[in-house]
Amino acid sequence: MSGSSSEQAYEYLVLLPRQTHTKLYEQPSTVLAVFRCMLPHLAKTIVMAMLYMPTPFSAVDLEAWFRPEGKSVKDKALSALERLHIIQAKQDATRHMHYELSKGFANSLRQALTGGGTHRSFGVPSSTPDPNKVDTEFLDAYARKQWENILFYMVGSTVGLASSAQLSQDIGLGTKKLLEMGNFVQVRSGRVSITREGFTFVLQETNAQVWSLLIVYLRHTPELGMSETDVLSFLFMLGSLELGQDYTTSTLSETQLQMLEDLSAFGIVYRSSKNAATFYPTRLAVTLTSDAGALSTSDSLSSISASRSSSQQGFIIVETNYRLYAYTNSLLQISILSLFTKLTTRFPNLVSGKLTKESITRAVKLGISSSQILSYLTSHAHPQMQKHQPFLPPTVMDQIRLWEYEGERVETTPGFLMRDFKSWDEYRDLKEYAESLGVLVWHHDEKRWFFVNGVDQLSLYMKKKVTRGGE
Amino acid sequence: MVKAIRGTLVKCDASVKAMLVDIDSKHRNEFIIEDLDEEHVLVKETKVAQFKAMLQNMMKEKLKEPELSDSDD
Amino acid sequence: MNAIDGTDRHIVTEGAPPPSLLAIVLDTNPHAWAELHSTLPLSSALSALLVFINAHLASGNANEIVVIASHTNCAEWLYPSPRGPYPSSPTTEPNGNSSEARHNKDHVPGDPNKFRPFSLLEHSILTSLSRLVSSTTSADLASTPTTSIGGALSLALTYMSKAALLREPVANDAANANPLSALADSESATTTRTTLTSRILILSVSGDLANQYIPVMNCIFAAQRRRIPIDIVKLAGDTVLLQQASDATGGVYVKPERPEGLLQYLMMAFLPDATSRRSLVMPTAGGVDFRAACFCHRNVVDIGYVCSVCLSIFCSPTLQDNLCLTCGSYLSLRSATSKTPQVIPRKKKKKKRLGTDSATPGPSAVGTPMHG
Repeated sequence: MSGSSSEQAYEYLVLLPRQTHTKLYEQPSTVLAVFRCMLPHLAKTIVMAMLYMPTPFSAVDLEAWFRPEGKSVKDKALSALERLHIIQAKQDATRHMHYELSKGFANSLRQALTGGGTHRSFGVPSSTPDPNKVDTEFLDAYARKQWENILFYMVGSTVGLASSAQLSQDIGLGTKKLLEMGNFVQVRSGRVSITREGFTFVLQETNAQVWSLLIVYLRHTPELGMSETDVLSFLFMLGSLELGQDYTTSTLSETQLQMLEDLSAFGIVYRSSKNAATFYPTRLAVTLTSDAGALSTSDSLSSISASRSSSQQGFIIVETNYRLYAYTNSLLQISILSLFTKLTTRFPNLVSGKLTKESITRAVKLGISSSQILSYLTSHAHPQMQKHQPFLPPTVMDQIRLWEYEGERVETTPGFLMRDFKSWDEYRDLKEYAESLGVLVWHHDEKRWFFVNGVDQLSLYMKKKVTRGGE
Repeated sequence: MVKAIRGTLVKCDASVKAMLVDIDSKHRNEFIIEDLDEEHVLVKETKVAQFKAMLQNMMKEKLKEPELSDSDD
Repeated sequence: MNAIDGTDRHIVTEGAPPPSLLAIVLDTNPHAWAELHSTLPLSSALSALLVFINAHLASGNANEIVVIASHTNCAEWLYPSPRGPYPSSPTTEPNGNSSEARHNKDHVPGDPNKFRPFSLLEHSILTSLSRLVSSTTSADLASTPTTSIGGALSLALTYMSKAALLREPVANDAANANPLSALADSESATTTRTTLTSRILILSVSGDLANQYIPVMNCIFAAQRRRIPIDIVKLAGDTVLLQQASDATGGVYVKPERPEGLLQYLMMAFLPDATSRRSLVMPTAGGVDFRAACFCHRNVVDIGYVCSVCLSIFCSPTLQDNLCLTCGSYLSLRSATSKTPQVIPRKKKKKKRLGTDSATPGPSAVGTPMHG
C-alpha cells in the first residue's frame, strides 16, 4: 500500500488500456493533471524537453543528455512514460532508435500550457452571480464535516464510541455501500467493523484517503453505467478548479451530473441544493491533483506566512520514554490514536498515553503495520518535534518496528521467478534491466535465477530484443 | 527458453525456514514451489495466508515467549 | 483533519523532490530589444517565457516563480506584483488605476480553457510589464544604454532568502514574531535546513555591464554562499560578468545561436531543477573570461593596479589626491609607473612550490605601490 496519493492514482492509471489513455489525453486538464502528479520528476523533464522539439528525440542523444550515474533514473522515467503511453520508442529506416511523444498528449499539454483551444476543460465559471454565495471557510467546514463523518463511521464501532450509532446515519447509503465495496468495512448482522484495508485508509493523509475512495468509485463505475473516461476526466478537471468560485453545471454531461451528487456526499463538492445550477469545489477537490496544494498560494510571501502561523500544524509529541502527548480534543483523532496507544489521561485539550508493546502488537494484529503508525505519527508531529531530524526519536521508531517483526517472522513478496536462461549474458542483461527498473528482489548468480515483483516491462523488453535480434 | 513462474517469495531466517520446510513436508508439499537458498523459498501465491497461519501456530507451540511486563509506570 | 485546511501540506513524502523557486530576471532594456527586433521581438520572447513559466509551475506542485524586470534605470517586480499602488499613481491618475492593481486578482476573467493559476500569473505579468513600459520616459532612455542587472539580482536574492526563512520547518514563536531574527543564526544552519531549492535565470540582452561590476559581483558571492545557481540565456551582446556569474555559482550558460528558438532552449536547458540536474549533463560556459573590471572607469582590464590595502583594482595610475577610491588610504601609484606592470613568466624548471612563490613579485623588482 503506498502512502502517497498520486502513486495510488498512478497505479490505477497504468492498468488502463491504451485506448482509454488516448481518449483521456484529449482533455488538456487531464493531461496537465497527469503530468503534474503522476510522472516521476525526471520524466517531466524529458517530456518538457521533447514538447517543443521539432524532430523526434533520438535515443543516442537522450543517452548523451544523461550522466552515466543517472542511467537507472532515466530507465525508470522512460518506463513510466511508456506504460502511460506518453512516449513511444520507434525505429526509423536507418534502424536508429528514437522517442516520440504521443500526438494527443503533446497537443493537449501544449494547449494546457499556452491556454489555447476551445476545450473548456478547466471548468466553466458561473456567469450569473449566486444569491447564496458561500465563502471558503464555509466550504472547508463543510468538507471537514462530511469527511470526518465517513472516518467516524469506519473507526467508531471498533473503538467502541457510544455515539457511533447516530453518526452512521450522517453519511449516505451510497457512501456506506462504497466503503463496503472497497473492503474498508465489513457489515455483519448490522454491525460495522473496520478491516485491515480500512485501517490503512484511516491512517493515510487526507489527500490519499480521498484518492483511495475515488479509486474504489472508479472501479465500480462500469456497474453504475458510467464511462470510466468521463469520470476520470471530471475528477482531473475538479483538481484544476479554483476554491471559492462557483461553476455552472450546464456544460456537464449526464454522467458528470450523477457524479456531482455522489461527490457532494463525500464533501468533495458543495451544492446548495440538489437542483442547483452551480457547484463549488471544496478543498478536497482542488487538492486532488497536488500533493502540496501550494500552487495557488504562491502569489505572495505574506500569504504563506499568514496561513502558516494561523494553521494548526501538528499536535503529537512522542518522548524517548515512549510517552505520547497529543494536543487535540477531536474525538476522531483520539480514537485513531487509541488504536495503537495505551491512553491514560484526558484533559480538555490534551490526551496523554504510552506506546507499549501490548498496544503496538494489538494494532499489528488488527492489521496496522508499523510503517503506518510511524507515518501517522510523523505527519502529525508537533512543531517542536519537527525541529529534529527525523521528527520521532529513533529509539521509539526502531522499537515499534521491532515489536512488529517479533510477530512477523517472514517477509513475503508476490511476483515471478525467472529461470532457465540459455546463457550467462542473457541472464545478466535481463537481471541488470530488472535492477534498473527497481523490480529485482532476489537473485542467485550460480543458478541463474532471479525473482522480480513486476514482469510486464521485462517481457516487453524481451520481446523487443527478440524482434531486434531477428531482423 | 526463459521461464517465468508466478509465486510469492518468502524471506525468513534459517530457523524459520526449517519450520516452513517441515510444515510443507507434512502437507504433501503443497505449499513450496521451489527451495531457493538458506533464507528464501518460493511459495504458491494462493496458499501464502494459510502457510503463514500454520507457521504462527507452530511457533506458538515451540517457542515459549518470556512474560514481559510493559507497564513500568 | 488538519489537512483539509490545506495549509500544512508542505509535509511531502520523503522521496519527492523539494519544491523549487525560480527567479527570472528579464532584461527589458529597450535599446537592446530594439536591435533584436528583426529576429526575436520582445512579445514573442515574452510568450515563450510565459510557456516556460507555466512548465516550471507544472513540474512541481509547490514550485514558485518570481519575475523581475531589470529596466534601464530601475529593477521592478513583475510577479508577484507589488500589493499596493505605485507610489506615484494614486494622486496623478484619475481613473483609479491603483485600485485595479490591488484587486486585479478579482478582475481576471475566468477562462474555461486555461488553468486558473496560469491565467492569474499571465495577467499579472502582462499588466505589470505594460505599466513599466508605459511609465518609461524618453529621458530615462537617454540617460543610460544599459540595464540595472545588479538591482534585479539583489531583489531576487532577498526574496529567496526570505522565502527560505519562511519555509523553515519550525517556526517557533520568536521567529514567527520576527522572522528576520533568524537571520542572526549562523548562515550554515539556515542553509542546510532549507526545504526550498532556488535558482535564478537571467534573460539577458544587454551588452556591456561592466559599470555594475561591483554590485553584481557581490550578488554572485551571495548566491554562491547560498548555493543558488545563476543561469544565463544570453540572447544578444556579450558580457564577461554574466559568464563569471554562471561559472562561479554552477549555473547554466547558453548563448542561443538562433534566438527565435528561445522556447526550446528554455525547455531543454533551463527547466531541469537542482534534483534533475544531478543526473543530466548541463551546458555551461566553455571558456570563461575571468578578467575583472577596474573600480575607477569600469573597464575590463587585463593588467591593472591593485590597492595594497583593500585590493581594489584600477586601470590607470592617476588617482585623485593619491587616495584609493574604495578605502581612502594613501596610494601612490605613480611611483610604480617607472616600470610598467608586467607578468612574471613562470620558470618551468622549478618545483611547483617554488613556482608559486615566484609568481608574486619581489619587493624591489617591480616596485609595488607603497602605502603610507
